[in-house]
Amino acid sequence: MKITFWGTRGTYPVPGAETHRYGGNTPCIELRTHDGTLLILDAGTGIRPLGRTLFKEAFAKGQGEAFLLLSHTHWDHVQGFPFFGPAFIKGNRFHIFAPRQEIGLREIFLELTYEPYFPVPLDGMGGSFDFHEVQVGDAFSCGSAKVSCVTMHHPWRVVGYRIEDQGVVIAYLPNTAIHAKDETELSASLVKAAKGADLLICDSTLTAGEAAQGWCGHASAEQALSLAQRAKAKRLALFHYAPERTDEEIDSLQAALRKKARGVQIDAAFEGWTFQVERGS
Amino acid sequence: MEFRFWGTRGSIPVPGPSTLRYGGNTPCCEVRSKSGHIIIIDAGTGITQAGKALMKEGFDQKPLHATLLLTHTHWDHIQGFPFFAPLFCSDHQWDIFGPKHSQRSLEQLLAGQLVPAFSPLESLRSLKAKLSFHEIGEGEWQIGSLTIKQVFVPHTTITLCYRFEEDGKALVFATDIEYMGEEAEAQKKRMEKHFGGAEVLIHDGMFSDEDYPRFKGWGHATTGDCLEIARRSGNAKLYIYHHDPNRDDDSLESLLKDLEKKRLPNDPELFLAKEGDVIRL
Repeated sequence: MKITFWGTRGTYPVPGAETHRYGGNTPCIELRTHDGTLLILDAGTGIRPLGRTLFKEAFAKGQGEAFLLLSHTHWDHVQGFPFFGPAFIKGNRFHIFAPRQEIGLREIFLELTYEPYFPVPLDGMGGSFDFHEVQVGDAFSCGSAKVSCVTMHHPWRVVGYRIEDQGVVIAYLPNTAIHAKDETELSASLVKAAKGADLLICDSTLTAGEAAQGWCGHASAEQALSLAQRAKAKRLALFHYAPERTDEEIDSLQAALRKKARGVQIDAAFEGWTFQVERGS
Repeated sequence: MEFRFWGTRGSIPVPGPSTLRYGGNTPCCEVRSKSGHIIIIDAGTGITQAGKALMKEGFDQKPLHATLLLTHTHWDHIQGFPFFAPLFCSDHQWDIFGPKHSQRSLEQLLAGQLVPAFSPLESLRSLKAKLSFHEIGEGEWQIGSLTIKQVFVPHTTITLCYRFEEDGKALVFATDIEYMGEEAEAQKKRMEKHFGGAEVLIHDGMFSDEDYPRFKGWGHATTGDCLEIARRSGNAKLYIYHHDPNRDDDSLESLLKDLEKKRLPNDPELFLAKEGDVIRL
């Protein structure tokens, strides 16, 4: 599968000189399966520049189709949607998956495009959208890829996605603590979700010090590494940086973790990073 | 009075290396009056930086009673609100003003960002500061040594434009305005009255005159509109504001250069609003 990172920042977008290398756009990842199907993981502000590149393809002519997999509907994971150009072109089809919230998924998108907030209503956007509410344990196909909804430990309703295509496995766990709220042990569900992954994309919001202060639904990069090691993932991408994390701090973090990696290839995900995810890469 | 730009980008934040000069944060500005009052205007992502600065100034340790004026509730003008540090200070008091929408109250519109589907904060109650919400129409009032005058402006949702006067000098913050169709001339005449004689006009100039036909009805003005209205209003300085997310720093400078060519003798001095810049009157 070919992967491109369009947004790697958690919580809120952070423009500026200290974030422009690893990126200030909120989460969005582009995945192309073996048969060319487009999966988009989360719709943070990174989905806007992704949308601009899609205009070079069938999406410009209203012949595009994509699967938008949302880990949850907190702002940083949906705020880019009203600015996603291909969604405005009649004929483009979007299959949108997200865990059920206290209001329905379609209601959430109606709220995102509600007149006091945004000038174009959902039904005026041109594209066609079908909404699928998922929960942990659900599985579905996106072209040649099989997607399973897996556990994450975060406030409110979230799912991670385990995506498998031609034997290549990507585990997407962008917003998760490393253990369940009232536990202390590394979560067995998370280990299962990431088991043997060729690429684990994992929440790395907290510093080690912050992680030690107690459960808040996020992990530190050090904890992400523990998960990768226990799950025997081949490769770990650090993801969902805290707004205040600078490029220099991420450089140091990556360097420090690589020293103790042992068996896991570690990279701090950055905007624009694109590569083929290979088996056993 | 001192006026500072914390966010100058329209529509959606644009992080990245090519927006470092003029900024990628969505609208937020700050006025400090001679009397020491602090007024924040709009709560785009720029407000996260305004909040950090207030904390650094010592307001993390001491009480503050300040004002937040909202021009309208489109996402780019409120999306920073849940991340504004002073709202978490229990000894802060924030008076929040904005236009009255026909379907939901100002409080409901801001609280709508804080429901569990969208935010781990889950509700306004997670904000520790004392908040009061005030829906206002056109009018004139005082905050300390500042006189504030506001009028409605034509945009795609109900929107106010604020004028600040102190010691005989005035600055107008006029964002998210479109002069469109048959009404355009009448609207310009009305705005001339509101902008008239202000030393500084900060005005929506999202599009060039050449771009505009493609974006008619989007709710924004052209740089040509800005220059014409500032000339008619007798402003000394015009700051182009609400920068198009598709324009990087170089493109913004071309936009300004092209506008300079249309400048007549006695026309206002022209500037691009830049994140971090301060205007002192």
